[in-house]
Amino acid sequence: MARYLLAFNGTLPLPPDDLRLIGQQAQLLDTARRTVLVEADAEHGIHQLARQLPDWTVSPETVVPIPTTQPAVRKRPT
Amino acid sequence: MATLPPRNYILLPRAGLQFADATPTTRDAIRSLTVDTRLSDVLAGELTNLAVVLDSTSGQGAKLVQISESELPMLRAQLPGVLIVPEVFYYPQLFRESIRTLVRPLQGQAKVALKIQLVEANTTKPVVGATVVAFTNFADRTGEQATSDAQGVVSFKNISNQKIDQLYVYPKVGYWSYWKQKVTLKTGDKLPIQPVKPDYQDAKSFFYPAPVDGEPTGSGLTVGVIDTGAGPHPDLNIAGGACTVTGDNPADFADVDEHGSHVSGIIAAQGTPPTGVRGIAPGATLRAYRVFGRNSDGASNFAIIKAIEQAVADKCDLLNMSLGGGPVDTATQEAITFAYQNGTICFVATGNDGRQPVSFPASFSLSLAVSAMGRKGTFPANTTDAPNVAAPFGTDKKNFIAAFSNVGPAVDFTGPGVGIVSTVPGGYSPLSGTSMACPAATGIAARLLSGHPDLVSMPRTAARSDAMIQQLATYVRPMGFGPTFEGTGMLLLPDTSTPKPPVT
Repeated sequence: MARYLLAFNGTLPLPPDDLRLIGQQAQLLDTARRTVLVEADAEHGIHQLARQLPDWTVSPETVVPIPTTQPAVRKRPT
Repeated sequence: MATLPPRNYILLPRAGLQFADATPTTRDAIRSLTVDTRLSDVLAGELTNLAVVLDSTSGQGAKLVQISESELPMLRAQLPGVLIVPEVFYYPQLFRESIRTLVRPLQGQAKVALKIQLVEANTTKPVVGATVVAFTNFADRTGEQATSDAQGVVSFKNISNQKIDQLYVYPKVGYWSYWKQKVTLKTGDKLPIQPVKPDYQDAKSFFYPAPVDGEPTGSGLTVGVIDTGAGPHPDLNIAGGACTVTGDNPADFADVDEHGSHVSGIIAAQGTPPTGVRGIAPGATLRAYRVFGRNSDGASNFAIIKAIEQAVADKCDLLNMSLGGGPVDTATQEAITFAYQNGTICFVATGNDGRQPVSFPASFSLSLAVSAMGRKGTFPANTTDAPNVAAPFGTDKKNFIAAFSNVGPAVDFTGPGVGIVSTVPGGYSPLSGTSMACPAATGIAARLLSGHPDLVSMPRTAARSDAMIQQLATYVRPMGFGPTFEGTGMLLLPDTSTPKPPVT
């Protein structure tokens, strides 16, 4: 299982039928104005769902770390 | 500064393919951009003859223009709110195997071999909880990291009898960092760590002294900080906020790190020197939006999108996003566009990857991307900021673009981001990064805009965002680094008492 963002490209509000479909085929985790966060099967589930939602774009959730300028050790001395 | 060769870019409206909804000024400019028109004949600013219109879909439609990368900051300043995207070409997709995970060597048996002690300079009090990174070969980042214990003792297991190429010490709160190169350590060595004073004249207070009576302070402006949360801290007055991390308490916007508190303090801390820190716009209203979870790997783009939308609903005027990296994603672009269309402009840090291209979302055309500069003499000589001094140097040779700063044609402004003293949970600390430069730009923008209540009171539309950016452009001065490093330059106070470098 992996987390994905589904972004709606049509005219708001989010279509209830689309949301129902999303809820049936993935676990709906959170909702924003135009985007929903879901958890779905990485191999098949999300691609199958995407094919049924032409007004939506699917992308994996991305995570950015807290920024730092601190250099990090990559390997130990031998 | 040499002008880079021209490339093709497409000028697009924020939504759709027609500029019909743009502000009258932008509409007029776009209408005048017919095929073969030189941009310098239509737009103000110093654009070269190489900048021309190559094609157009219609009078109010998208434009294909040829322009040098180094002129992009000027073009963005002249056409605020217009999307400027590189023309791209698509090719058949080829699949190739690539390395994803490097093989790691097995670690040797743990054995304590070297113990040194960190002590406060002058008092010899132990410095507890500091991170110490000892590189035996800095170029390939070979080394060992350890943390000082309750006695200030740092124990290394693998680096005895080896010359330390570079030694970095990062204390937690209340001290300057420490840096030394080409050093041989032996057990029992004591490293003196300098305490930091809240009223130290850092680059922030050098360029942006606290407002005196009668000067704009940022009052009337609301600044949203999308970060690790903010406070509690006696110098920070957080008016409200939210946590948008899925599954976390939406009302808990307290800092889960130190980053967001430090950023917030740069913008609008209300402490009083010498015992406290004063932000650049102490009169601005601060709101905190926490997008980093407790003990999490990082901030999700979904949490960031939700935070932007919540900040717009809360009527934030400016948003500070000292975060970024990772792939471009259209959902975040849409959220920044949504903010812009609702009169809220986003300042975003360019990233700390060392002269790499500006990271996303700072690279998005509607973001105001801020690189980091520093000034010699505004941090102690033996701190970890010493290696951050690098060319290019400015017209004033004490000024430099920080070695860690990402740069490129997407940069809009530069700001002070080296050795900046600000608020962290439990006290005050100096930190460096484009994360610090970004709130410096946001803070001075709030302070400058608070002197223009006519703009602040405009309806919350894209025209308001356009007008705020155009007003800010009048306060920008090039510092002599060139547009690749500083965009259009640095936002400076009009006050003649501010140390203003000569205009190039």
